[in-house]
Amino acid sequence: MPLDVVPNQEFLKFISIQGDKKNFQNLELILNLEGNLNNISYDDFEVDESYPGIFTKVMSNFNKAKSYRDTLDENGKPIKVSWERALKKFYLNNKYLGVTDENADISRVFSRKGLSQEIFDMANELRQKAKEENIPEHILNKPIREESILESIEKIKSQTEKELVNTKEIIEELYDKQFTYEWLSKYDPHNSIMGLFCSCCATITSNYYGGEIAKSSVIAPDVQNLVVKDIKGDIISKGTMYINKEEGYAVINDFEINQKYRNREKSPGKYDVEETSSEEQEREMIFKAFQRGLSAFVKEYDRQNPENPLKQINIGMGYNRLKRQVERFKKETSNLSVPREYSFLDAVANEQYILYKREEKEIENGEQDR
Amino acid sequence: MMNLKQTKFIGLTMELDLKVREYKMLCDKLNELKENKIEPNDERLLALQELFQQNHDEIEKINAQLKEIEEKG
Repeated sequence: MPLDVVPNQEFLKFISIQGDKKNFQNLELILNLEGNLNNISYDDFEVDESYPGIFTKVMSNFNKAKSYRDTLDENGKPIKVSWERALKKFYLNNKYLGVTDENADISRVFSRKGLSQEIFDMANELRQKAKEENIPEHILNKPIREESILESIEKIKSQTEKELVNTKEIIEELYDKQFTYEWLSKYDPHNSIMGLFCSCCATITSNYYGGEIAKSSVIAPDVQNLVVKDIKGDIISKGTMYINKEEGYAVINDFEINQKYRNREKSPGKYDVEETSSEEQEREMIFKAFQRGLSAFVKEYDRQNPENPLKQINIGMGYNRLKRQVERFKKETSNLSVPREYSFLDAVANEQYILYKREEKEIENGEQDR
Repeated sequence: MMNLKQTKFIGLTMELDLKVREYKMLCDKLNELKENKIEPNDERLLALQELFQQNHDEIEKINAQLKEIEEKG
């Protein structure tokens, strides 16, 4: 081992050959890294890689080598790494002149073999030339290699992750399909007695305002029922919608739901249950079915009326049984009107919320497409 | 009262839940080995690889059955 460099005091302290502490641990560490095991009388040493010349390098640049202990972790937090790690990093970064990110791999491989600066430069230049001449990395333009068991596991892991994302989507879709929507034909017999399915006053025999709503859902050309059915196909919820084609808006009187989905209803549409409860989750799914129904309606309406698409859909809050869901939307400041004879009292005499508002879309010539 | 489709669906989601837990356990085991700097071709990884593959195949099977329920409507 060449010792023509005079070691400074700090280095001598570091390798503990002076002072009170003489356990030589750090000296052993550097010699171990150097791979110069012949000079050490320990049988237990196991060296995975050697760092030729590290002793001299550290000895003559001790302050610089020491500074490699202070670094940042992957989150940018300052940390202190072990002497072993710091010295290895220092050595690999300083073995040759002209080490860059691009040729650091050459430096790593060559330094471990104790190769000279001249050989490092030659290899570096050779590879640089290949790159400049656009020599492909592989004859077949792709890496071909046998994967390790660890890599194979990582591959299976990533396939499983992908599979789980798909599963999540399917499950969500299946949950959604527990309830399905339908824009009920105006000739469908359920319209006349809708209240029997949705536990409300919407039957043609009712003396309450639901009587007029039930009648208009059959007879009025601008009124239609959007219903939600359970998994057995039974109607369990409805929203009666009036549409004003001239003005391009629609108003749903409210959402009515069958009594069996209204456990612990403390006032119309307000339930004494947590948002995460199974009852509320069920109402959430019913509301989602309404949303899908409205979205399908808007899409078809706009397709049939490209010149005058639907601008807005509001809903009344009166006896609305899905208040928690509707209240997530914006409240209307000036209610949209509905012809008096339809008796949409939940919407006309109460607050309205905006379930849908067509966004202004910029079109190519700079005009506004409303 | 749940119908056959609902029962099957719930059964599959429960089975899936177990498989996901198993998957997480395998990932923990793998991380532990990686932290101990296991060699990429250490034979201890072979058993783990088999378990990962088995777990993946079972999740794939459950997925296919869920898809079948979805498609049948």
